[in-house]
Amino acid sequence: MKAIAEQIRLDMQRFSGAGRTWVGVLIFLSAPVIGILLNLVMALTGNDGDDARTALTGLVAGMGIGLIVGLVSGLFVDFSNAAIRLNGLLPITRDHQVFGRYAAVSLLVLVQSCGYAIFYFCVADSFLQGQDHWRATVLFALGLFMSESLLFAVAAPLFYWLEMAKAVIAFLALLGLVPITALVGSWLPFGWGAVWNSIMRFLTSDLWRPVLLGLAVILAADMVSIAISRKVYARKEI
Amino acid sequence: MCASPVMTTSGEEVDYALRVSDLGKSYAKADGTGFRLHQVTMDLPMGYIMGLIGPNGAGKSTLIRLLLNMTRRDSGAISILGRDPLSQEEEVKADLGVVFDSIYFPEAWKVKAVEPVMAPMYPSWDSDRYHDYLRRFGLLENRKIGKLSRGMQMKLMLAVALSHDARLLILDEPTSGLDVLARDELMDILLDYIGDGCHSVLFSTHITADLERVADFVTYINRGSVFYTGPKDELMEAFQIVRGGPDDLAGGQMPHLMGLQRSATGFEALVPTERLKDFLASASPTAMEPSEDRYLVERADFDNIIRLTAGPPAAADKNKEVES
Repeated sequence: MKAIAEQIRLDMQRFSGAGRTWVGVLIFLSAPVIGILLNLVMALTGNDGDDARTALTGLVAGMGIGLIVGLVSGLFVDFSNAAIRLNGLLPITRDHQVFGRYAAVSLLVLVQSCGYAIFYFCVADSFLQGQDHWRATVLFALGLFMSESLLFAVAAPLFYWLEMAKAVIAFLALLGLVPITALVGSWLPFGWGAVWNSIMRFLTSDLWRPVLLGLAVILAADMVSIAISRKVYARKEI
Repeated sequence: MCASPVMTTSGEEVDYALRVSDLGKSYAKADGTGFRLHQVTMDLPMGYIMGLIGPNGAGKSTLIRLLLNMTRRDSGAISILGRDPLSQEEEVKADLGVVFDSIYFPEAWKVKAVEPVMAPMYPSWDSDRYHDYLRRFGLLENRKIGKLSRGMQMKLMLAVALSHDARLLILDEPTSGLDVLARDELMDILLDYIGDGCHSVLFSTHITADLERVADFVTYINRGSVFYTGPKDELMEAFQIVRGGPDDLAGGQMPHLMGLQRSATGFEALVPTERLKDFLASASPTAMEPSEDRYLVERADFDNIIRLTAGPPAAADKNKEVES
């Protein structure tokens, strides 16, 4: 555990770019904090209509996705230069380096998601218009936590395996498959409306169900991703 | 030619800082070329300095990377400080100090960012000693690592390596970016470091003058194989360099050579000391002068040994040419 904790701290320091733990954390937490501040400014200036708040929510969610991409780049950029050799001399095994990195990212994304929950709770005050405030907040934060975790689970093995540039291309290609698959799926003679309705029913059922399912999906994706990353990284020359 | 260090001194078993046996690693490329580190065996007793020498591409850095688990070995065994670096990697690496030929910290970091990263990794980190080394080496904490000269970057890595009481220092070409004064200072530090008999050093270098001053043992790797490993003095006494004119080398002398370089003005031959007499006796009988006067014979240094034994396969053709 100690080695994994050291790796978590090292990755925080690496992500900061300056060797200081708190800088990396602040950078990553900046999206919901910026959202909360902008929301405050909008409220003070009277520009806090539903459209503006919806746009702000989209902006903050987009920043979150952008930051996870930045986090992945920041953590793996050393793989393309001589600084990767630090991994070879520190008293942390490769397995612990992989576990530590996933734990570091999960921790950061979790803390960031708590920030999103606070942001959403503040912003959504008016435009939820009578809906369950807590449910919407939890689902929003869970949605972002899940999206960012799954993006990392897909990206990490690629970055352990390939050079930086190739990994980015492969990652973007995989992301590109998502809308293509959706487009192809929409052409298929399938009752998508019924599927959508059942998803919405599931999301509006007892809150613990979507939460549990979301966490289970993240856990399963991370387990598979870690297994691949360990195997790939064990063979990598550093 | 291999020699193992003595197993016992006054009847007691020797502690080894490093033991490598039959280590192998192959790289194959799609174009059919590749590199093979073949059955490397060497021992470094505790409390000594071993130099790792050889021409570029001989396999020195590959060997160091194998020691550090930075690349997977195909075969063989490694023991560092009596432990297996695969199954006890964390314990082994906590006792290792490493200096590479280029900096391993992100260049965007400042010098002052290094200690918060490295100190928690090593239970025996000595902050006072680290800052003493920074002062001694003239390293300013607010300088960006990427802005430091290569020599200063090496000193930063050395300060880190020496600040957690590492029992074995592994240095890969540490002197390549240093001027003569800095190299001297490094050699003094290494001699101080092993002074208590509990610390050891393995360092690869092209600057063999450094080795002649501080190394107790030498491992010479040539084309992926160990040419010699053992006490430095034995290697230095094992070979003589013989120089002569362009027509002074006879075919009958060729079996006594370990290496040969010819030019328009003459030849240089590396001859094992125990075969020097045979070499001189095999000189062409038609020559007017006695062989002792025709040849200049002196003890070979490391550079001569490497230069005359590490030639490309074409050197063998040259030998055949002389024989014919």
